[in-house]
Amino acid sequence: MSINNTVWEKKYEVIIIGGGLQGLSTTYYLLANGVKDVLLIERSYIGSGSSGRNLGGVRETHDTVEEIALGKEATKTWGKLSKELDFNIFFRRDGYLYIATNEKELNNLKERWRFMNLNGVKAKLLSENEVLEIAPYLNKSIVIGGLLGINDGIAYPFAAIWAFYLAIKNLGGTILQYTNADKLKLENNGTFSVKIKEKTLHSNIIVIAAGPGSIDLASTLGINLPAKILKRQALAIERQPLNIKPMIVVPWGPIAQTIRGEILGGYHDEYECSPTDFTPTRESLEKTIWYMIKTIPTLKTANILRQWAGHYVESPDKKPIIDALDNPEGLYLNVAWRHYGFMMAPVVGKALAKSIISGKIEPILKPFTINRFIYK
Amino acid sequence: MQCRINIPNKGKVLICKDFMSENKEILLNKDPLLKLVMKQLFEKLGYGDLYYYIVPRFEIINKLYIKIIRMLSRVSIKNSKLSFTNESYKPKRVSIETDYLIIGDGPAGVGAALTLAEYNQRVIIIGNNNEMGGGLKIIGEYINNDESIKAGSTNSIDDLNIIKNHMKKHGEAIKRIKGEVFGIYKEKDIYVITAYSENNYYLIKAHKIIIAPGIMDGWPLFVNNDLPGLIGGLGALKIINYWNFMPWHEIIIIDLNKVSLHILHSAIKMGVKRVNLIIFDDAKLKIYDSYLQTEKGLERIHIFKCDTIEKMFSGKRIKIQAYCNNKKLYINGDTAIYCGHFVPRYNLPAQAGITIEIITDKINKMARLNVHTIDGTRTEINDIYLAGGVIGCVNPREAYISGQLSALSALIDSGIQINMSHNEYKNMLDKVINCKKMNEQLFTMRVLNKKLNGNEIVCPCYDVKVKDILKALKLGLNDIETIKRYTGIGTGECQGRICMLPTILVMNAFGVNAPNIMKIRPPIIPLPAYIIGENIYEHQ
Repeated sequence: MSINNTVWEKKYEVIIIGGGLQGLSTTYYLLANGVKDVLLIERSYIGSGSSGRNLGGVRETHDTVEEIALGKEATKTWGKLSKELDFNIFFRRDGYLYIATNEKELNNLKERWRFMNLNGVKAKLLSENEVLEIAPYLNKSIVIGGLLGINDGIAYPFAAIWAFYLAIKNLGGTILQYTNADKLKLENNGTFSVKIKEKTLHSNIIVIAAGPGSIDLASTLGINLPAKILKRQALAIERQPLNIKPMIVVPWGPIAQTIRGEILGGYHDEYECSPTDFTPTRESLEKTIWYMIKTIPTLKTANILRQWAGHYVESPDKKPIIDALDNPEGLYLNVAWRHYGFMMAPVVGKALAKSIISGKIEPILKPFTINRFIYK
Repeated sequence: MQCRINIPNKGKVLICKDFMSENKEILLNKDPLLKLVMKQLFEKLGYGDLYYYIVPRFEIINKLYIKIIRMLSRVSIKNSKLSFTNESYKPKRVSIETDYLIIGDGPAGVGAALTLAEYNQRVIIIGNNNEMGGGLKIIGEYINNDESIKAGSTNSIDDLNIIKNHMKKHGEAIKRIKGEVFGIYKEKDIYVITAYSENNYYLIKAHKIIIAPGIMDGWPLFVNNDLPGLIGGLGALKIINYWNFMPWHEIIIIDLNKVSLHILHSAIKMGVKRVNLIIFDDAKLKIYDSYLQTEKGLERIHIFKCDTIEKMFSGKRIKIQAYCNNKKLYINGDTAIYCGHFVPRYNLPAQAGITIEIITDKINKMARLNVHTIDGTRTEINDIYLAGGVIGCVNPREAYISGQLSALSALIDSGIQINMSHNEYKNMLDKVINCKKMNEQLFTMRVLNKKLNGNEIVCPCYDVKVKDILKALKLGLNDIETIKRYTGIGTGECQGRICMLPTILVMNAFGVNAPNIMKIRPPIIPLPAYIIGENIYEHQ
């Protein structure tokens, strides 16, 4: 992208750091609500982080009240998103199918179902036969029951990213790709400066939504984010005539089929790594293939096309940190999303944009403020 | 996506269509015998059910096509070496540790192995064929002396035999494995290279790696081609030299370089009636004119100097529409062999973390991928060295020297004294750097079309056309990673081997610079899931 001088001379109302779906949706809803000068900075291409590396699942089948509240809003929003942004994001409401392979897991599913049911999640417990009716390609010998999240679905991650990107461009927002925001600084007059290469940008409001890069970035303002970076991997198998509709979740990891027919999966295995480490490992390849073949035996003859790694940023309670800080004032955090940043992005982006405009954090985001980690 | 096969006396037959489309069986149903043969063949090649499987074109070029031609030329299937994919088959997991691993057993790999063995190092050399030799097996008769590894050899097979004898002498130090490498992983301080063969899943731990996988035939971009009316130069050489068999009477050879000379040479010898040679560059004609003049069947060679190739029509015979001084020209043949450019097998070095540079020339509409070396065969990654075709040393002799040099560099880097004067070492280095420079001029890729009409296929796996890339560019998605995800290029069975350069060329032609190549991800080749298997990793 060519950078003209006007980009540098302007003072922005809001600067958002991180071109994942969280950053993009926040930018879009700010612009849509009438904020004019919004700048989004991305160190690589848009969606190059976890937003583009996930399987595209969107669900309300969560296990805590506050996450269910977000999830219910998310499944509603995703259904309308193609229309709202005028771009097909390929969202299909095909459900999440959780599979139990032993009694213990089945009891666990039942317990989860009771909690979800209590909180208004549309989910259904399934018997072995019902599971196999929905997913006849599954290995019969491992299934003993299941849980179907009815409102859940799958989107194509990059379509969602481009949809927001194009909408932002239509509204006149600026996106700088391949630009590294190295250093944040609080100036004496209370505004922020962002250092980019040799230039400096100014703004009253900064939003940090930079995924694994957020930790280092926040520390330049003296803020320690209680979060660590984990590596999680996935792989793609060539197109298969299987018609796997829902997101299959077995105890070892998820399996989903893309609109093009490729089959994706990734073993539940996470370990700490550096924010720049994207190298996939052999061990993950072996484990992932092992459970995918175990779950869907016909995959044995298929070819593996590629594997990749992404990052989870995990807070101590495995929930995100979303906050409008008082000190320094004007700094907004939207980080540590672990595994569900992509699916919640349209909802959280909208709420965060509202919070930025009003100066007060929206009720739906309240449970995720950073205060919860501070001993009172 | 569809795939056609050119069968002598039968014309082209559609054998497979995308499972998404409906009329996949039409042509096959017309010929029950052919249907049966094809079905059997597909099963034996491990493609599973003919009607559901999508056969990657890339593989067809190199393997399937050759095998089918062989079958149709009445070579019994029973005697052929087709491998079987059995459902219940489970490969054995084999772990090996070594000082040096050499990937590729062509002249470059063997050169490195022999040098290392002389210095008493433990070496494993891995090749993906039953027999070692790589390019030596397909080149055949040498056209001039400076190709031979050992002075006096007139044929690459002689060289191969000499090398084999040398290898036998070092039988204890050098271990050869048959296998296809699919991943290079760094685990703690050691490299783990994963490979597979029919029976084994190899995990090879190595301290130093020499990557010498050779060159791969590139593919023409902007010809509306259906396979395999057009075949790649190395594919054609394989058919000709492996089985001493030339299934065509009249051939079209596109572009002039060493590979096309070898094909021409063999074709004339095997009694092909007419060779239509299409060249684009006068300079190349000057380089190779002396060889051409000494060719015995010169009157059978017809040279067409063209500006561009516009289209290719496939019917019973191939017809190429070319332009020469703004005049339309039709060139016919039973088959067309494309020798236009070479794409180094950059996916292996790229996965190891070595930079691949894009070198583009907008004026001449050319682009090339260059594997970056810092010093002849040394790379920016410690303990990984390159040799042979991948760095542009394509003659057997050049490749052999580059292999020796990589081994010497590796020995020097690990502090071993070498019995060679500094001058001798420097001479070898100069030779490798020189041949690399020379080949850079010859192996560039050009846009064949002057005017792109949008329907040219860029990615055969997902049938992505130029217009699809333009659509992405118009939306402002002008980054190669984004175009990859928007159009699907680089995500199919070829994983970017065919489509990456064409995409970069299209982007360049429309004024968008591609600063990077797309990320190459493991596995390097499409890896059958059963290789890793269900019981190989048991969950604890």
